[in-house]
Amino acid sequence: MKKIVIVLLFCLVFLTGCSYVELNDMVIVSTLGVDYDNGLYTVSAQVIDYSTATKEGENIVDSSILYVGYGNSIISAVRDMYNAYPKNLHMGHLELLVVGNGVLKEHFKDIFDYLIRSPEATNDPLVVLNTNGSALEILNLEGKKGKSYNGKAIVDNIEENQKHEGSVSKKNLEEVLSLILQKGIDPVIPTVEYKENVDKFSNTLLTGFAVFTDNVIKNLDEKASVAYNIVNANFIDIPIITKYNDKDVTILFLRPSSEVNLSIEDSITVNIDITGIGHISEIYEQVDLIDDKVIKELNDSYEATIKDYINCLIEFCRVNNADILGLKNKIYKFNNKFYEKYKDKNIYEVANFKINVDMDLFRHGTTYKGTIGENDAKD
Amino acid sequence: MIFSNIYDNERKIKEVYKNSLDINFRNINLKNNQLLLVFNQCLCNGKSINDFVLKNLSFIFDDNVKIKKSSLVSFFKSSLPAHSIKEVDSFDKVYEYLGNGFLICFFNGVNKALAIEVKETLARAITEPLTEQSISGPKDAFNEHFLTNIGLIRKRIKSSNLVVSEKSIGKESMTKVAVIYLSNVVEDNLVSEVNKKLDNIDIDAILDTSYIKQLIDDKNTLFPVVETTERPDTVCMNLLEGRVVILCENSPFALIIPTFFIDLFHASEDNYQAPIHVLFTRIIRYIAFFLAILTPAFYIAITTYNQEAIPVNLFISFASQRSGVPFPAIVEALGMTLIFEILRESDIRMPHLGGSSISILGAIVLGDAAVSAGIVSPIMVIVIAISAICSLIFSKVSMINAIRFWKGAFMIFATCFGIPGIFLCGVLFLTKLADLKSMGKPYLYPISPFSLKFFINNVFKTRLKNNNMRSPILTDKNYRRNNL
Repeated sequence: MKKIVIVLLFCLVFLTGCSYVELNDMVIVSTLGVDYDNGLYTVSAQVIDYSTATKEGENIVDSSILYVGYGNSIISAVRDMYNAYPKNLHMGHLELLVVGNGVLKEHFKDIFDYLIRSPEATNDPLVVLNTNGSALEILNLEGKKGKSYNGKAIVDNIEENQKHEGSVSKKNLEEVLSLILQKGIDPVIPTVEYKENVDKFSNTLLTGFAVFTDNVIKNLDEKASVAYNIVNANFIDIPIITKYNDKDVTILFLRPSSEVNLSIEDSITVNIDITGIGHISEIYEQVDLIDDKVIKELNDSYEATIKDYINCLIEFCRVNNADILGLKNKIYKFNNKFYEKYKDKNIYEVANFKINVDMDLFRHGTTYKGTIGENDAKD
Repeated sequence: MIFSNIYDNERKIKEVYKNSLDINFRNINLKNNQLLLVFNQCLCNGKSINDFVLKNLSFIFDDNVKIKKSSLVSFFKSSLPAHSIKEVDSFDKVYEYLGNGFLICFFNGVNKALAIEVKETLARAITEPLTEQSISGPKDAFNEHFLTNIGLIRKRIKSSNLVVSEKSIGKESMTKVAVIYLSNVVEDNLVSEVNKKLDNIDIDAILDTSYIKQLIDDKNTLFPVVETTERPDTVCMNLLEGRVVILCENSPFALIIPTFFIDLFHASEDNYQAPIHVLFTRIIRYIAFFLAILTPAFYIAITTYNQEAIPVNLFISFASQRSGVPFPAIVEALGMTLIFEILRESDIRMPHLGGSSISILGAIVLGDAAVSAGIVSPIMVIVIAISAICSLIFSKVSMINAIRFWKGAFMIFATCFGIPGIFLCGVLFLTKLADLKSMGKPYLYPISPFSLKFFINNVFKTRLKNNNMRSPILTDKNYRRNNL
């Protein structure tokens, strides 16, 4: 026992204080923006400003300060901040990484290296791209709307959008890096852009997905972005607008399930099976929803619309030679002998796609039981 | 050896006691028999001396009765209607009996004396327990009267198997110490071990059972390896399990041997409640124990090393509260703990009225003024308060002291190493506990060595009708409770 105590005392005396930092001496970086222009990196860190908070702990998450540093590398730009700002940057609670278009052109993969190597930084901030502007313009909104904007709002937007809109989904740093490192799959990352006076609360707008392929970033259109989330069954309920008697009908897509299978015989066949439930949420046509024929026609139209969405995605992949669905990755993993044959081809041109959409349309829509509900109709 | 001349005896006693005012001498001359009565007037009951000794002397020494000097002592002993009369033939015994409230009767021409018990009861009445209160169950507690305490046990266990053996410990105090056990349950080795430890005690005075507790504890342990209680019902329950109990004169606390770590989480209330309710309260005690020891350390570790372990909103709250506090977290925590301990100590020592003032002052100083002055952060007040409240869930002072020590140790390790430091200190803590033994029995029983049946019964509680076995580690005979 005495030996143990001596060893522990030795450790206490000689091995202490390696990474000791008091809370007072650090600032919390919630969002990091990285830009690149003419050989110079610009790193902007949005730090949470709790200096104005009272001791009772009023909500201070909305208030933030922007630190900006410049350097020839990302780390030198981060260190540059210490020349101007007094406190240690704590990146353990980094929530969002915004990548500007300057980086996307040449150094997209490089920015991950710093964050993965940095022991203080967390590996799971969400990644968003500004394909039409800089990261700094997304973060530095002070003066344009009266107070600084916090990256957490973008994170919340992405989460809510994924659940109920389906045009973006969460992609964190590790996931993006994993996709970059895998063979035969191109990473898809949400995009954000600055819009002057979108409304009085926000100056940023989530615009969908972009895919990083052959060192080039390409933006998906809205339909393809939604289709990407449908194929990945990555939402809770999203509205899909279909046509019935040439009039719009909005149907919520719930309980999604999807499967992408690939078979290689003489040719490549890709089976995309989508199933789910549809709740009619808006219909302007006076139709009898308890009529099975009407429901079937609506359902057929609904399934055709979803197929159309997925076809848009496939077409985007074909045109841009972007393997968003990771078909080559599936060949690499499960039919490896064919990988060499297809690795340099545009697989979306040679493959046959069979899209099977099987939706179950609830006739009573979003109401649980109407005046004449589903049970009555069966009678 | 007692002198045959009563004046020599008187002179000798006066010399020894240096003419102490509480030692009274009374010479009586009855029918040509000269008697010397010696007693301690503080320890003896004057009414008993008058009614049972002096009044009867005149009847005993009747004119018609001729008594030889040689048979005077035995005649007197058989004739006097007192409940406890001892023959004494040495001055050592004379002093011992004088100190125990006996009246010593010397007869001129006889080198023996009689010690007649006329003891005054210098003890409180039997009151409710002060430190181990319970809502249900018996309300009586031990007091400072030795025989009353033994009586409180004897009236609960009337079996002839209940053995009460007496010892006198302390060269000056000659304190009576009782070793109590159930002979048909207890392990013989345990009794002999306890007796051996008691016999080895070499001290001038035993003023309380806590003296014995310290003296029989070989290692200077932080956690108590001998439990104390002031409840006779708790003593009886432990006797029935095969433990040995030590009572000491002038002490309202009994010692229970052996004591296991898990026993410290038990309360007398548990014995009178349904198992499901006891399960809940015991879980609360376990949680409170870990919160008491670990909360400040964990706070220090996550705010100074492992900030990424804190949810972001909580982190912001912590950071905003700590901004402006001039001290490092460890200094803040140790300072707050120190102030709390000072307040607690002063609260215990102060009379009740003053104690409440201290509490109010403490609450204002710690809870509001210190925060407003920016000396400490509100979250640190909460952390230290949680730890302090959780430690006070235990009524045993030795347990509170052990928690206090380990809380400090964990805080220092957390300051030096962060969360890995807490684990490191945890290993040290477990090693220390596993190293402990209570009278040769493993302190961590029934966790280590593991016994599922007794683990469930001790850590939680089984139904009384299912609790029909005694622990094999405590007894080597009569394992079944209903097979005595």
